[in-house]
Amino acid sequence: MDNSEFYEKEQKNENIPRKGKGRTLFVVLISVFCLVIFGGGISFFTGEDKAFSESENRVLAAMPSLSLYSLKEGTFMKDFETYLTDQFVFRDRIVELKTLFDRMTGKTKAGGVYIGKDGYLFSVPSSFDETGMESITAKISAFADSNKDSRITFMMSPNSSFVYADKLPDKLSLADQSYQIEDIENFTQSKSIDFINLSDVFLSKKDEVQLFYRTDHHWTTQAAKIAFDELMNRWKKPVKDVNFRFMAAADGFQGTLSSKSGVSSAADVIEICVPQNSAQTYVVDYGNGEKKAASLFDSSKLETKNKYEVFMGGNYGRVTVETTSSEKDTLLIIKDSYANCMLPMFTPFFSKIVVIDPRYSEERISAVTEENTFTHILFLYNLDTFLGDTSLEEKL
Amino acid sequence: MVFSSATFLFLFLPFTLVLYHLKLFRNKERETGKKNLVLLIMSLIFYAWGEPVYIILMLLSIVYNYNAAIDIDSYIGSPKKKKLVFICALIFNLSVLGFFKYYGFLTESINSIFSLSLPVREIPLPVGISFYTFQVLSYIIDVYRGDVKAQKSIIPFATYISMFPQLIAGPIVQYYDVEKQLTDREVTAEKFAAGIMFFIKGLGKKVIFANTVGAVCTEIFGMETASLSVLTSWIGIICYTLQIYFDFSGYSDMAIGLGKMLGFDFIQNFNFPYKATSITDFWRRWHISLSSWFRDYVYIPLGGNRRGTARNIFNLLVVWSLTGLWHGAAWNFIVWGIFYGVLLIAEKYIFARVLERVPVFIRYIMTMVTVMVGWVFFSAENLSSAVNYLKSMFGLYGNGFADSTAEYLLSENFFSLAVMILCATGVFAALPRIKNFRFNIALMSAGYIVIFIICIIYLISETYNPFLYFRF
Repeated sequence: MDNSEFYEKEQKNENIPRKGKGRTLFVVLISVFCLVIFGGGISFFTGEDKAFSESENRVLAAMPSLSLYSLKEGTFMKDFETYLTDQFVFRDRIVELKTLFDRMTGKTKAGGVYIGKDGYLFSVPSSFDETGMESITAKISAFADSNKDSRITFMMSPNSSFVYADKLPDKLSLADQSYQIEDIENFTQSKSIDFINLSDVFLSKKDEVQLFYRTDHHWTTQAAKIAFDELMNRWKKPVKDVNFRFMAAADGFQGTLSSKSGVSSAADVIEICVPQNSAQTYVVDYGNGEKKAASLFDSSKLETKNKYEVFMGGNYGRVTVETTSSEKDTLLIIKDSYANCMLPMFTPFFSKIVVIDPRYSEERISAVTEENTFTHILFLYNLDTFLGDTSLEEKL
Repeated sequence: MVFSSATFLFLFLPFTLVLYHLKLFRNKERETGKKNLVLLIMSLIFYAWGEPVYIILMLLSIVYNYNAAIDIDSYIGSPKKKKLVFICALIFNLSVLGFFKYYGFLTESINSIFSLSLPVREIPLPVGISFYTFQVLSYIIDVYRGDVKAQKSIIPFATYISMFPQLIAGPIVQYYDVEKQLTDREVTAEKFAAGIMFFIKGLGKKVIFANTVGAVCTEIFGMETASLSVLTSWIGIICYTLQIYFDFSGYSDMAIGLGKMLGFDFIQNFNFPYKATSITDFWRRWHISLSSWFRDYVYIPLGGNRRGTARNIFNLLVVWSLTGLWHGAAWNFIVWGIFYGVLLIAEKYIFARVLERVPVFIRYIMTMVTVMVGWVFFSAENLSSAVNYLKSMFGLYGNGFADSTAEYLLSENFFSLAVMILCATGVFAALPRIKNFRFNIALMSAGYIVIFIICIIYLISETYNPFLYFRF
């Protein structure tokens, strides 16, 4: 600390331009710099605000409202910055450039998405938190024990990063989701729960059928049908008696993973699968009587970016389906969005189906089981949502 | 407000530059007065944008210290009164800093030592308080010692304390260094261009480099420490080592660059610290303005090395515990500071002879490993997690040298890590240059413009944008 050189306060820097030399070149640098910052600034005032970003599939921030409170709390300043970056000129182009840049430097991860082979994108799986799993499975067990009259099944799907692990970027290896699902099964103490781990059946069929969308985090309708067959087999339902028909609903599907990463790779086809019983009709109540329809599809969503919303028109807290099926059985499904494309397949086998998505629902699930009795209760989740979401635990 | 934000780059900066450089007066003094006023007002807006409430604290500090310094100056004839005002000012400034920065830590420590349960209150730390308090202290002490005259006019003084380029994360500018510039400075095209280059260099360090490696080390630090392979934990700490350097020195470069655009010359804060071949050398290159401050206002007043070995060792330990504590109110920062104090003492009194005979390359590796071990303490949430991370770095968890995670991380980040290491260790800067000055300037201008555009691309497309040094 005592060396004399340390006392020299001014250190020379050879990059500092010296007076008089190359002056015109400085002027070029200064002009371009000012052009960029002033141009950027002026574009905020002249450009028109966009409400929605197609490529990011989300509502863009609008000019935050100014109030004494928002100034004091600093929320105005934060929201203002989000507003500026959201409305920045050429925003979409800029994000694309960045992705290009990352791929050139060997990055295989963009926006929390792994960029895999053959056009596959994968979301980064949620981590497995043992204590969290113990507490949620305890709640599920308690729920099962208080609904002993119903047949309760918990079906869980792994995610595409596990099933299509061979398509992950080189050298990337992720946790074994099959084991994780087994762990959850072992944590679940209640004897009245029947557990279906879809890992093995998916692994055996992954090369015959495309089980997951390449650019979206959902499973395909084909995968949902395989899962449905497994379930019906457990429940001893005569699934063979019904004809199911697959129909392509849309092509050019670039899903959530594509939006998140900014990578538009191979587009996917969305199929729907419907039972072919001509006599079958049903009424669907989305929410609590707010929106009624005779369909579990919303074809207007096919025109939008998020085409997966063609199934049930998106996510609702509670959906009730009354069918004309002669079956006496009734079904409660507690689910995430994986169930949306599977729902139409159930209609020939149940006279009433109530679907609860705890993420969007405000009511406790016990309230539903108290007001109705169900012969069957199905928990249907993909592992990633199950690990990452806390709303199921809150609602049980 | 942070420099790497759209609000700053595209609204605040252009607006400030126009107001600042818009010539209103022929008279040079009045023009500088206008410039100071513009700078003061814009700096207050800048600060209030990030700390809408605590700006009152800063204004209070400005007014109090402005008056205190004038009082100190006016009691030339009565040393007792002068000393009294001076000590009051020291106590005021240190207790404000102490209350906002260390209150929670202090009550927690007292509770755990004496097993009490005093109520612990988490007080949010006002941004930049560590930096501006140290600037104020340098001023007050210099006035007391008679090294500088008290600033009679409040606007230049308030401008010095609140000046937005270095307000939030340094460099800690001593009043002595800018006294003249506050009332007499000019901006030439050369200086402005140099300012742009410094600013873009800093912005690039922050936005392109620090944020990129930051994401990697956040990922690794988020994994279960006990399950990390040796290589993974080293990649993690190397990323952190790069991140903290690029983040902090980038901020300093931006501050220096903005200062130049406004006509100020601040001292250089970093001089390739990762080129150091000893710990002593490292601290001559890392956060120079902080080490200078502690040297000038703590180490030398305590007697430095002029009162014998024992006293010198004591002085060094005091300085380094305080340096650690300055960085954060937690035990791991104190351990980090003392770690360096002990190493510096050892280098000076025990290994000085031995080290001379060790080849430079080996010394370099030893220094860097030591610095990285230091960063483990610095980055950790608490002491025990630091110790756990060190265990995994030295293979004490028995997870083997490398696993697939390490291989993936390495192949994923190899290119960017290589470029950043070459930049941080000064290899790029040391490449031979073409002697033609015009050619150099043309090349540099083009290069900086490209970097600036890339920064904007990164900024707009990334939402991950926290400034590390705000914690301190």
